[in-house]
Amino acid sequence: MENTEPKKTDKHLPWPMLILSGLGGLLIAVLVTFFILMTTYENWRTTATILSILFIIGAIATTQKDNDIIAMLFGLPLYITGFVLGFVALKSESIAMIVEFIVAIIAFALCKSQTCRKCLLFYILWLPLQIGWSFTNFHHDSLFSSVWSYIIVLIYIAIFGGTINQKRIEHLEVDHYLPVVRFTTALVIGVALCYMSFFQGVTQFAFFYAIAFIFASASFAIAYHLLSKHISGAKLAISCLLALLCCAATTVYPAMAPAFLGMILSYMILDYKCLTIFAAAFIACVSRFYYDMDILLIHKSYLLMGAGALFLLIFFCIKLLTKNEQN
Amino acid sequence: MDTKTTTQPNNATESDAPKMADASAWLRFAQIVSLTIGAGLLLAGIIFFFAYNWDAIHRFAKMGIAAGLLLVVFLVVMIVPMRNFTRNIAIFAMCVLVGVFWIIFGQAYQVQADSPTLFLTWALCIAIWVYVADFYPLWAFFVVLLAMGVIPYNHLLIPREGWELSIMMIYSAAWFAFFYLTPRWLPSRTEAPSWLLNTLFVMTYYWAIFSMCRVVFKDSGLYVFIALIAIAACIWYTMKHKKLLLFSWLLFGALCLLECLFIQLFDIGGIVINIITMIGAFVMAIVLIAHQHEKWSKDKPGGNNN
Repeated sequence: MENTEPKKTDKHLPWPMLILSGLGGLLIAVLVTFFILMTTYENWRTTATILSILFIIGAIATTQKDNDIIAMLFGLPLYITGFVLGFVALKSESIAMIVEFIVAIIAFALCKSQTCRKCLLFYILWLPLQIGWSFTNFHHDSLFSSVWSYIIVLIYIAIFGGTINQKRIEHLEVDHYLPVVRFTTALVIGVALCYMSFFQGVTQFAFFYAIAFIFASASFAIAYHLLSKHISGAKLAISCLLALLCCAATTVYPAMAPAFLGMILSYMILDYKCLTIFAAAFIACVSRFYYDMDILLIHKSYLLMGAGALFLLIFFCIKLLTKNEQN
Repeated sequence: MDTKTTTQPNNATESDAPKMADASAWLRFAQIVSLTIGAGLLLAGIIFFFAYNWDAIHRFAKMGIAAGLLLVVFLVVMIVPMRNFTRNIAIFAMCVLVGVFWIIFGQAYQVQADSPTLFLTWALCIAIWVYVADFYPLWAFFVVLLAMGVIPYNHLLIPREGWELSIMMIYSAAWFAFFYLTPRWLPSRTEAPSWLLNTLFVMTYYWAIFSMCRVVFKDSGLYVFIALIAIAACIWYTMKHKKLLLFSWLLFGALCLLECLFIQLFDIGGIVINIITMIGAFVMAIVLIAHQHEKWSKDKPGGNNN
């Protein structure tokens, strides 16, 4: 039997090199930016813009072949330097991020190196959240930032869920990029949920609970689909009722429901990295619930105890049902 | 227990369909998630309840509740038959409750103890349970807790200025050596997971690098030799176990040290030389990693060097 693995290992180098390449590129970008600031006093923005364009064109030119060594040595550092200079050159953070978003999409389309495309994809998926926050100068206690974060969570959970059923997107030939998409969307969702929880009015506005209801419904739909595949009859009815209560319990605090749905979706494809991110986001959201000023602490206590008791009841029911089946 | 549906070989490429969880995996997930979230939310609710009624509760009642909970969890762990994972979670909860008890005690009697004393007391009280449980997330919690209790007192331990970083490096290195050597000397102990060893490795190495950077900008002392020994040990460990991730961290640390050296040598005027030499060093580092990856791949075909 032919073994094609050595060829693939040679072509696509391991991710620790990516870390070094990224960090090294950042170091060089900082040095170059510092050099420009030191040497061109009045026209430094113009110089930085021109250099930024040149670096990105250079990066695209050097990554016209799918060669990881070239990508690590030249492509990535050039991209990082170009984007850092571009960000520094433009006065407004929001405009800088929007321009970089467009440039990153163009670079992704023109670049042929898979490694660089994955890094660009990460950046493209990361920016939308930052763009929204930049309009309020990254103030965490802002309704707009909170709403924007939750909308991004909704869109990205849909993207994450969409990457699970590979048969539906087979025709797009995006297999190589799916792990990056999943990881990035999970990370962005985790960060967005934590950021959103800083806003004091999360439990005051019906909008957040309405979206949490959508997430809880999606969790229940997945649970029902999985349960109906493996059990039937009275057991299915009891299990569905328990799943419904479980999903409803996650809407106690709006940020908990998407984290719970993310955990279910991650486990579906046994992606433990994303599962860890969503679990950490869940814990962070419960912690932030303590600081919410719109509900009395005693009411929060009752809600959490009730939800906790419900989950423990579900645990014991599962134990009972499986024990009966074994007997 | 591996519940993955592994119909593909372990070295499946990215383009293959993802492994999907089967019925037994989902059952296990449902049990773990419902237990963990249920216990966590219930505990959080109880904490919130006491936080709300704190002023109204007598100090004996406060301590009695904490001690009572501790006793209940202890009895559950000792008497109720359960899986290892569930028992470890219960022991973790018990260790957290010890801290809760000490916090309540400190508040009730106004002992004027500072945070490091609390953390040190907490860590010493749970040490035996941590050792018995042999549950590495609990070990990680214990290491952090002990660090918060010991490190702030480093001004009592250091012989003179410049040793602060070395104390942290020695602390990380000691724990790394403990987790690395204990399974080899005591066969009943399980192997430490790579995430814990890698974290301690990176901490040890980078405290050593920061010590060396301090030498570049300030003065030197005996701690330099300790830092050099730590760096040599890190290099030995990486080369012996052929871990490409750690090798990358080694090279990045070397780049940081080199940068500090260049800043000290060239100052602002020599920034062009600094940039050119850093680019050269960075290119060399990438080439070295590629070369090492190829070499280690030949030694271990189909293995994971990360």
